[in-house]
Amino acid sequence: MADRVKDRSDMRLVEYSEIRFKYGLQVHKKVLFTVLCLALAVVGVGVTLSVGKFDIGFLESYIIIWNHLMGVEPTTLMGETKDFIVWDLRLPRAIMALFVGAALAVGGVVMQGVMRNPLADPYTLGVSSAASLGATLCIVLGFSLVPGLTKSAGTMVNAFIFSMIPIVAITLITRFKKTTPTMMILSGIAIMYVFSATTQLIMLYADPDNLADAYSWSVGTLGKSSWENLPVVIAVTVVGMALVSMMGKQLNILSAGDKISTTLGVDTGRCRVLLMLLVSITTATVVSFTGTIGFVGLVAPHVVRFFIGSDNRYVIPASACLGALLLVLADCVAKEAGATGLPVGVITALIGGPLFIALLIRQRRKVWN
Amino acid sequence: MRIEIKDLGFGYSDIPVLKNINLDLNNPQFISILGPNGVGKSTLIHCLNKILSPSSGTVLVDGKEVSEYTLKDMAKKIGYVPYTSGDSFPLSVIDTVLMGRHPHSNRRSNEADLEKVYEILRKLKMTHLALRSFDELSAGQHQKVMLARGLAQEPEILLLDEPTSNLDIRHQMDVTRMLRNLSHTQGIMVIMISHDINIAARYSDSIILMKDGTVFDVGTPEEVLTEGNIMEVYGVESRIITEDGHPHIILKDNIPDEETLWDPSESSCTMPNTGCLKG
Amino acid sequence: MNRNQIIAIAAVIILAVAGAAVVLVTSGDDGPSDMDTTGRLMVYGNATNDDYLDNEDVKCLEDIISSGTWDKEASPLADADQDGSITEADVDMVKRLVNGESMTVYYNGYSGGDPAICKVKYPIVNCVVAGTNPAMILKSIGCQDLVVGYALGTSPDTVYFSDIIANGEAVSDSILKVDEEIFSELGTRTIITQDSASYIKNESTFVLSGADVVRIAASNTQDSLSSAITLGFLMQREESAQAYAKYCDDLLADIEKKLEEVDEKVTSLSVTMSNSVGGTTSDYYDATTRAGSINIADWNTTTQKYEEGAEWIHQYPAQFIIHARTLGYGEIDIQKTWTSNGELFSDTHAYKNGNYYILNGNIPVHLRVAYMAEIFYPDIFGEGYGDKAHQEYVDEFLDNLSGKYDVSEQFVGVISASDVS
Repeated sequence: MADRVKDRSDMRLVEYSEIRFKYGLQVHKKVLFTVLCLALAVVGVGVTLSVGKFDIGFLESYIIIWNHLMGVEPTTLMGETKDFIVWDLRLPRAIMALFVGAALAVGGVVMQGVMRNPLADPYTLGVSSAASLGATLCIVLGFSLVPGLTKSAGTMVNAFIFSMIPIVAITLITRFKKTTPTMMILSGIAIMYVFSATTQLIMLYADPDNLADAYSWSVGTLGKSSWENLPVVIAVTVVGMALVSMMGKQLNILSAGDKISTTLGVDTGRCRVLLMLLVSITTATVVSFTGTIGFVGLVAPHVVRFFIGSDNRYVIPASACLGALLLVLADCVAKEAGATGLPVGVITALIGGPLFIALLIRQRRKVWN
Repeated sequence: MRIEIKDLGFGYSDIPVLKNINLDLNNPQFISILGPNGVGKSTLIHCLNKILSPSSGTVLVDGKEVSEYTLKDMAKKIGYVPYTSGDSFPLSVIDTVLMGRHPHSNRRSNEADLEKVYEILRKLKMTHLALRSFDELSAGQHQKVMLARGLAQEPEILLLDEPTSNLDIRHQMDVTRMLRNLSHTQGIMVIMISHDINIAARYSDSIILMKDGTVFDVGTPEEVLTEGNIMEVYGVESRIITEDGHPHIILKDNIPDEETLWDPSESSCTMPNTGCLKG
Repeated sequence: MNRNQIIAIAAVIILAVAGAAVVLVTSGDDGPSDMDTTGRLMVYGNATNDDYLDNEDVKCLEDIISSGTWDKEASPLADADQDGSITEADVDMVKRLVNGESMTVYYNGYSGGDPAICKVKYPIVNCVVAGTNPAMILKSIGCQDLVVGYALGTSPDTVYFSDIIANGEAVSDSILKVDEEIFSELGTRTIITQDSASYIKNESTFVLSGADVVRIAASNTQDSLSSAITLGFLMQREESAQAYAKYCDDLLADIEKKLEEVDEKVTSLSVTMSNSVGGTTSDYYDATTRAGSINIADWNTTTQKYEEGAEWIHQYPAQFIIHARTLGYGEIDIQKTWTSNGELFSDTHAYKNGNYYILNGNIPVHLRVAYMAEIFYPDIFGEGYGDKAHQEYVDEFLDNLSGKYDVSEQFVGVISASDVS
């Protein structure tokens, strides 16, 4: 426990003005980082529009979009196909990547703060195995919680409803017993085991076709992005993230410990449940359209904290921008990989793992104890 | 300000941790809570600020029951400095202390909050650490930051759980003296769980001595710190001398005749560092 | 020489040449001679490399021995006892085979998923069948009564396989497995299954207990007939097997002939399961080609998955997309099948032009070709071409459905956009 001060000169009194100035600089740095990530994300969207297995020239993609916006109709069959590819496939997919990446990253920030655990992510409560079970029930057994839907719609609805089970379970438990973050994580693990065991059981008896479908659902893909899906996703994620970012200060306080939170006037139980509820709804919505895309929610917050520290008032928006950027870039790679492209969940896993390790090795500041 | 504790009892299950606590604490003063480990000191102060809710009895702060205060109102009235920091994602020192302004501020922290934080850092001689990250500090500096956070709440009552245990003796005295001055000049009631009898004796206005979950004695240091009390509560023989007008406890290094083995169930061996020897 | 003598000699020469030509043309013509039928009976001893094991093969072997040369290309299946050379032993073996004597015979089968020379105890008097394709072949060649046990999965086609299900016992829940205990109680020593290694993974257990695992390829036109003929021989039901082969050969010949009228071939892609698009080595590639289309797939894996939102499929704008699914001979929810399968392909050219078709795929391969030919060239083949050929098949070869199943009414062969609008 040596005193960090080496000599007397370090221990001088620092004037308020100097501190104020430096503090302001720090804040500017954080904002700058966020803006930079946002700008890069937008650039990423621009890049991904010209990326894909269907050969369309770099400049041509933008010309196609411009034409479409100007109401110029394509005249040839090839022109129609290209217009379809760029406008109906690539553009909604790029926008979806932005909002899904942002929502997952923000979910990660919140879950890590609420659980006070650096390994938490939006799926920690058991959401991914719950969603997988819901999807598998529909894909393999044709069982849809809301009757009369098509297979794809039924899968989406199932996934959403099942994703909400963990948070509902936790909310009920907290009503009767004060639950610590550790208990919540344990409950998440319990849910995960139960649900994934059931899923495995179903998959054992599935025919190979459905099995492949159910599996690729869980890997996570942006392939289902369309102009029809986008409004719901944008609306839910924007509202979710906005509400969460208004609670940045409370999240800081929650991260300091239950006792401190209570004595600083923050109702830990309520605050925690509210935050997790917001994250759960946002994540459940995202998951029902994309499956469970991993690693963005886990890694983005840590990268952000590496650069700008742990103040959640800045980490939340910064993570949103970085998450958006990460997912857009991952999708670029995903679209080109392999013979037919790969689901983006594979790419996030491939990038996320080493990125995490690099962070661990290079950390100059301990961003967790 | 006034804290009235009537027949307070607390237990996690059937085993009571606190029983029959009755206290009437009045006016700004510096109060130390002393006692062996596990006697319920932390539990007592947790019952005062809504961290725990009592199993029986009542606690009134300024005439109002603690259970009736909202968390925010309680946070404005009573500040708390914990024994350890649980901060899992550390912020800068300024931001950590700024947290203490939360009960008073609304949406964003403003200029006035920053100025107040600076003042506290200056008083604690920590301005040179203002922009450092919390996890880059030593244990002693951690404690000072948490103290600063508690002070930032501008509370009427400040509860501290062994806030100086990791500081060197010079800083221990510094901080304790500062707390005493705080209570006298700012009109704050400071209640501090202390691990050092002598420093408590030197600076406290009142001492609450606890044993087995209840209040053994309460009063001025001279009244409470008697050789008889020390023997009963700590199981240690001592000699009290008066120095500079304050009682001073000299621990006598002896082992009671009957004890040749350390029996953990014997309460007299709960005092640390008194050499309960085996064999 | 005078004129009369010249005429006489010329007449003799002409007659001799004509006679020789007749002999040449008609020799070896014991079966349906229009099709190229070399090598379909894949049993070793079939020296003449045709569909039959008969005295022709004995003669051929004797010729090889006496001439001392064995043209392995012309008679790849000559070495009946697999000792590496053609000897009297081979002749003897074939003679006994022709008489129908019990013995071990060698044939071209599969081991570990690859073609291999296998042996089996002849004749096969009864068997357990694992897999829908092998079971279909057994029914088509009239051997369904010899099936004592079956592995057809948890929901087999109860209409098509009603006799096998009624007379035999289910040997497992999975189409790929045979339970050893149940097998040992059935009193058979033969399992007939698919070539793929995922079927009967525990083959060695059965072999150790003295049973034979006969693997056949049955998913393209050529292989399925070879398997049919070979199995027909092994189970001593040559006549019905040959009848089935003739039927298929005639059908294909008819299709080929009609296809000559086509000036411009259409382009196609084939899809199986929910989104596996067939490549150049897939069986459906073969079937769509035989039905007269140009399959524009150019990847040489059997399939390539088309995930939702993927762009690559638009680089293959086929005029027709044939999506084969196993729908069975029973009742089908047409609307549901159409929506759940078609959704994924709704952005393709073929779909937008009304040329996305769902084909009921678990029918004999040749019938799939017939249905597809009708889809591609409706003017040439006429409406109901597929159903008609199918009805013939049902009435002639399916004991349990003959005369009781009206294909055009009860069987959904093809689902198209016009069926659901």
